[in-house]
Amino acid sequence: MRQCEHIRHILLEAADGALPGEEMSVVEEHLAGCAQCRSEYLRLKRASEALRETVLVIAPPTSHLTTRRRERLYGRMARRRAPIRLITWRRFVAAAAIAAIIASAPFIISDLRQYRRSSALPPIAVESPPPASHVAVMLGVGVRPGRRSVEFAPVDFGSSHPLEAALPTGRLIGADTAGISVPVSHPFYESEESSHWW
Amino acid sequence: MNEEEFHNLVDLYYDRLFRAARFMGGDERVAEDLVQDTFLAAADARDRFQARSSDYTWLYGILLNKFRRWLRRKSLSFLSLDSLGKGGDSSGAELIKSKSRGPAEEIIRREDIQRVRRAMERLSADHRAVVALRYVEALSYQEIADALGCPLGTVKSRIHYALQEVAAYLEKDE
Repeated sequence: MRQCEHIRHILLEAADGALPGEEMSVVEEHLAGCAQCRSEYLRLKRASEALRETVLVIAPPTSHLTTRRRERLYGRMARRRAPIRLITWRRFVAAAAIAAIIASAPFIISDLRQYRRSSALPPIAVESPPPASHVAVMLGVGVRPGRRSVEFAPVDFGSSHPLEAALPTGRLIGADTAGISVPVSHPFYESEESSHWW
Repeated sequence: MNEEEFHNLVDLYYDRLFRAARFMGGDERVAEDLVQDTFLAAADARDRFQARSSDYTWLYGILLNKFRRWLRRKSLSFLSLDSLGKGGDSSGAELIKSKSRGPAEEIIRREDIQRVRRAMERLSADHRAVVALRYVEALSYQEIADALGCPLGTVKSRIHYALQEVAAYLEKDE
């Protein structure tokens, strides 16, 4: 029993082929007369051999560095080594666009100021309301045939706009969030063909 | 690390690392990615390598870190058990196919290999690292302890645990 205890300490190495020859012969001598230790030894030995066999199947000692793998690895390495290009065509286009916007900013501001001055003109006296398409034109946008909305550029029509004064009972009913269309309401434009919603 | 040095390192250690990665737990594609990432990381860290260990041990340490990370992401589904039958590993299987084996023995052998792989799936990355060095690299217990920087007793207990796990799977359904 005492010898079993000693053998158990080295049984793993014996079963795994890691025990020097002289110690191995001691183990073998014990195993010949001890069924319990022999059973454990054989169990571990079988597992050890199965692991070695599995290595040969899933990771055989052949060359795994194929041409494709080598090229892929060297390619990845070369890309990492490549200097970082500060100027790419995308960056160039983006920079050109920003420069164009900055350069045109004074002109845009000037146009806006001019527009504000022109919108401060006195109200236009209108004896009879103009036709619907005419109103749309006055809004600066045009009407699409068959459509009941007025499309226009996103312009802020304040209460001081001449059109508001010219159409005392008409009103602009808001714009959508994108500022794309403005429904116009005026009792005068109600007809059989179209409702007062544009 | 210059280009020539990098190529030399690849030539010397690619196969060994690939086999270890494959055995520890990846299919061929995963093993390839892990080994490639290992070499690229090694190239980045070469200047910090202080030569306290061998090149292989150093690379193996990097591979092990990559493997642990992959394992966390992958949650242990690393071995396709069908691949043996479908030819995924046929190159290796055919390579060692012994002509002396009869059909019945061949079937038993394949079943055993599948059981080993199932048992391997249950092992932690640290256990697999030890097992790979033992059975792929055929290192002694002391060499494994030196390579991984852990006590000899730890190596023995991990191998013992792995063998017990494999033995338990080999005894299943018998």
